[in-house]
Amino acid sequence: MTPPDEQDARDRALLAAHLGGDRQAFNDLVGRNRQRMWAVALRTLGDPEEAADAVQDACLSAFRAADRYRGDAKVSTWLHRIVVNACLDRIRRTAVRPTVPLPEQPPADPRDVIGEHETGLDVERALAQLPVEQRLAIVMVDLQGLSVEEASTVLGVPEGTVKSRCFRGRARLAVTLSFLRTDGNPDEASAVPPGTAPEGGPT
Amino acid sequence: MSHLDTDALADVLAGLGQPAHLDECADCQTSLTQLSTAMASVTVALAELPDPVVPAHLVERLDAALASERGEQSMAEAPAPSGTPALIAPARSATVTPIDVKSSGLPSWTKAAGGLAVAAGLVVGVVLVANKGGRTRDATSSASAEIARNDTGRAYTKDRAALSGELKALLKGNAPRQEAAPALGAAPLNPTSQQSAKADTRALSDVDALAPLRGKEGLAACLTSLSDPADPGIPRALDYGTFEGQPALLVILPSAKPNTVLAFFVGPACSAADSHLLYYEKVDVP
Repeated sequence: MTPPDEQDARDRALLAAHLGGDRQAFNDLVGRNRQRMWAVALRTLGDPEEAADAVQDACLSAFRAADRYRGDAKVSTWLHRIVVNACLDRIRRTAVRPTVPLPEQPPADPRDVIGEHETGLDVERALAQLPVEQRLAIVMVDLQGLSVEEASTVLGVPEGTVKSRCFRGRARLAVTLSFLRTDGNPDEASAVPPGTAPEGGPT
Repeated sequence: MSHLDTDALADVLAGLGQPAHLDECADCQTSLTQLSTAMASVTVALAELPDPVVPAHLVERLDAALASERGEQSMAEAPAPSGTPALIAPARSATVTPIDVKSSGLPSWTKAAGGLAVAAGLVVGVVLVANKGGRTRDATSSASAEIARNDTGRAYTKDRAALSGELKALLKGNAPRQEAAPALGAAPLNPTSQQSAKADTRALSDVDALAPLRGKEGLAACLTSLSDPADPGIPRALDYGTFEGQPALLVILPSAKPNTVLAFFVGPACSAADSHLLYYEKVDVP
């Protein structure tokens, strides 16, 4: 696996080549980052067509703004930010309501999903129900693997805000996915014996 | 005294402060522990989500959009053409077809490039349209233009060097009709050639797919989607074939730059409203 620094070095080299007139360089840069850009757009918008439009918008924005890349953040972080802005633009302009695409085929055995609240579809649905700010924070940190610092740069908010959004988003997902019951009956997996004080306190 | 809600407990777990109430309330402490455990499960569930696969059509779409963007930037630096339509001499393997084309405003192919506004110097002229009455409900002004129409069935690709040679041959009228792309009603190919038979099957299906663009009206509507009323011009040539394996109509437009043409590959669904642009490239044809 290529170390992150080496990945960024390659991205920077491609960007420089593009600015130097290499007609293929930007396509190669997009190719290297396309998967991440698509994942961010799809998880943020939920709709594949909207996500495709957002990725295209982002690529063109990046192409036009290539000479304005300052180099203070990684190229992938810069591209992440452009995709996020493209997604937010679409949400604001079109009032996109995130939807979860239906699976192409039903599960081979319905018993595999009945009662199983950890299926990918359930998680995606729950993610789509989050407020967009929390959803973006979780997409960046938990799904894209960005550090809180990098996510802060991408989202343009302080690190404390990113952490708050991540934790609040995860808490909401915990409720939605029934990992945490809110009806007074503790979930079996997370029950604390009565009278037992939690050890160590919260982390 | 009100207990801490889920958001407040989440902030505690995020290390963003600890309300005094938490120190005094066993129930909230219990809730905090339960939430911490549940959120750990959420983190695991999120980590197990598979990465979404980039659709193949998106890859092609991005390539086309970037190619189009490069073309717009190049053309924005070039002087605007005179806009005088040129008569095209019939190519040896081409048929000259009078086409009536109506102007319909800004090029819709720019939608493929992210909805960009057309620059004033953009050279995307296709057909000269005498829109004397402006766009009214009854305005149907149009002009005929003669365009060299080829039907080679050629399998075009993004290889720029190859594309340059192919377009040059096409414009000179030397482009051979593909052995595997007979016109409808033509004599059948030699059935002993397996390769040509396979290509024949492919070409016939391609011909069928492009049927909507073979008629006058369909073709005219498609060319309209590539027109720019501010910069009129007519195609130098057309060719029915495939692009990267997909049925495609090649439209060769003039460029302001000498020895250069603009090659547009559009899909079978090309219409006045949407060109269904598959690919665009600016090609040198010395």
